[in-house]
Amino acid sequence: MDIQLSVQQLSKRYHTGEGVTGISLDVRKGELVTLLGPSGCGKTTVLRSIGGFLDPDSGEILIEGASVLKSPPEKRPTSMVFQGYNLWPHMTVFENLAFGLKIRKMKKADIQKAVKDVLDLVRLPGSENKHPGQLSGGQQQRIALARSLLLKPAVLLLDEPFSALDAKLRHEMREELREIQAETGLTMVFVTHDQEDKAWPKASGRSISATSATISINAGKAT
Amino acid sequence: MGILGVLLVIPSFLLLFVTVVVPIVVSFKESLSNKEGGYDLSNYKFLFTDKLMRANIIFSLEVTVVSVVIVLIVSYALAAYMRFNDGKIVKWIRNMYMIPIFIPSVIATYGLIQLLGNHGWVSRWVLLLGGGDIPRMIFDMKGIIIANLWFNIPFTTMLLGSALSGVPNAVIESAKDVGAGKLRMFTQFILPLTYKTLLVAVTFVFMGVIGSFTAPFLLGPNAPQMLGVSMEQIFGVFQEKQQASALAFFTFLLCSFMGYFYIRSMVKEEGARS
Amino acid sequence: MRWYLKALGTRKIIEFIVLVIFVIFFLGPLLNLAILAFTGKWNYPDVLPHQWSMKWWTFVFKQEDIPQSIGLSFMIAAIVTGLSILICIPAAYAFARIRFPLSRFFLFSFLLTHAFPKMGLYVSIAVLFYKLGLMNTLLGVVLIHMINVLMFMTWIPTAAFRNVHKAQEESARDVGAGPFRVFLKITLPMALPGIIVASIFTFLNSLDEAQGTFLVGIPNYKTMPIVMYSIISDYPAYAGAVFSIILTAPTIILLLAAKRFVSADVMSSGFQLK
Repeated sequence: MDIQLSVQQLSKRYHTGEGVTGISLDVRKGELVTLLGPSGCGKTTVLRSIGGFLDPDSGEILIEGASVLKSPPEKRPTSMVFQGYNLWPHMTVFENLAFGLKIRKMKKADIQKAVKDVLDLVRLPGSENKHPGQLSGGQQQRIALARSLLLKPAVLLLDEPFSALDAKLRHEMREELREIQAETGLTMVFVTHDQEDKAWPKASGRSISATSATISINAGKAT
Repeated sequence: MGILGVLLVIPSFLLLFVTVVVPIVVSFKESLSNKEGGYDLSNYKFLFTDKLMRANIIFSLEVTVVSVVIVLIVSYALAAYMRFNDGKIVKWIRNMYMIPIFIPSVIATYGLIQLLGNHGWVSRWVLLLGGGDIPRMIFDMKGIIIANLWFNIPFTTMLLGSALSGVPNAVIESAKDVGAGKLRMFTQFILPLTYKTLLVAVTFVFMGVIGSFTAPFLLGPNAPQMLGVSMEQIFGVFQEKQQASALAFFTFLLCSFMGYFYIRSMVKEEGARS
Repeated sequence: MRWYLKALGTRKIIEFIVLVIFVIFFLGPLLNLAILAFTGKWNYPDVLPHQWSMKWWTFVFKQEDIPQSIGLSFMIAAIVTGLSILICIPAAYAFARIRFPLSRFFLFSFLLTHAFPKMGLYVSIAVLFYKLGLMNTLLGVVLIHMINVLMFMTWIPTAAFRNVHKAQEESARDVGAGPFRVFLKITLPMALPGIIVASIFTFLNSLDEAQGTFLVGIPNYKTMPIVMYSIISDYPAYAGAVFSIILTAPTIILLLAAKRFVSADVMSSGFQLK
């Protein structure tokens, strides 16, 4: 099976002394990997480096075999769902979803169909004309997820996307995400501090636990 | 990236430099020049020794301090009223209280003169309702203070209102729960939590009032004068450029004093956070 | 009657009295001017005119310099607003998003425009402008107006940009938008309310500017406030009232049109930058 995402010896130190050192991780195509650890352990640093929002001090990041280190976020084949503030409040749900597709110069009819399909996938059909402010927290995150799915990224990055939701909703969203992943076969990297997120139903996902402030373990294929 | 930032700021800063910084420096230089062409502190000495000028300075400080205090009290009260009450009347006030901020100062001053003058509208209403002559309210210190209140209360209320809405309801409720009365609630909870904004308000009201010209010119007494009027007179009527500059720079020093505290408190919070 | 008042409770009565004072104090001057503007004949001590008329409006518009001053004021206000948007918005974005050396210094330096007493500033500027040949020119007048608005047009938009959460810009980059497109489609629309408020403030501020224009703009550039000063001294209150309404009308119209955007929070966050 091919390696979709390869992080090699990633290091990034902040002025405050926090950061990560020598992180390596390989993610196979179609896998869901969870980066689990307490706040401040560096897991978001790793994720943001992969997404292109952070320039690491050293190390290499390969996606589908090619280095993306020098690419800005808009050119990387990644897509990120943030913890919050994903959607743009001044645009409708449709405009939010179509934004990326318009940039890729997709035809109007194709966009409409794609948006309708993805809304069905995240179980929010017919919400094209609503504004994010009219949706609940959980619904907003589902739209954010939908937006990322639309772009069919090589790697889908999720930065604690459900931590702002209540426990029951979190559980539901995890199940939904698992099903979507099974359906679409997307490669995903999921960052969380919630121990429960380790228990993904169907163990084709691996977890890498980080328990110290500075990750200096060569993670490889740990569980 | 850093260079881009500087480049983006350069045009506005350049404008600021040419229209404000350079004249301030020129003004400082002028204030230090004496009549013979040399440099000394004679202009400043004049400021503090001349009886009329001393009276002007003291008058201006009095007016400014009184205005600031009253503005703060009224604005806090108004902001608190809007924060903790609801109803049609409150809604009305919320919609209307910001209007004076946008009225040109000449108009407002003129309106106040017509309203509060000897034969003004208020005096006619008082007569109608059976009262006698109203006391003189304008063309003296009271008039300037009244005008200052008119100009500054809406703006300060806006600032404080915003600060008050930043005080979580939970804090107020738990204070009430423990038995805090209104005064204690204000001094031990509201004031400390809105202290920053208070400082901002004080700074801006102070700066606005101490050098003001329009209101004091139109409805102030002939003597003593507010510093802004005095400056205009020294420059325009007496043609004493250097004295006017000294007065201007002195007023600037007073404002810088306040500005320093303002900037320091703004910056301190940033330091505490990171 | 007494039982009715008792039934309301002292609290409500006090509230009502305070409200009445509030309304009289802030709206009284404006209302009075409105009545004066349409007066035909109004004698003391009547509370209302016993003859209404538009005659003072025709009188005002017949005066030579008045229609011209109206056009001039609006043109200058438009130029000043446009120019300040051009110069200050990029700077505001830089302050909000880019970390560059001395950014704090630049940001707070804009406070200088209000820290130095305007009268003193204009005096020094007059000297400077003489040397640069900017006296009695349109550019000179525009520059004077710009001084007042630099602070608002920089600080308020900075706060507006800062309020756009970074994640929203990042998610736009994430879906493929380059930095410029992100600014145009995401950041700017979301910061627009703040920018609009600042622009309205700037426009109205420029309409109101009198002292500096007086120093630099005469004899050719007589804006409305300057004409207002002479109307106050030379003509009866009715003419002044008419002109006040003309000068205030744009304020009311603009405020009503942009009511959605003008909120206390937008403006006050501009003055509490760190």
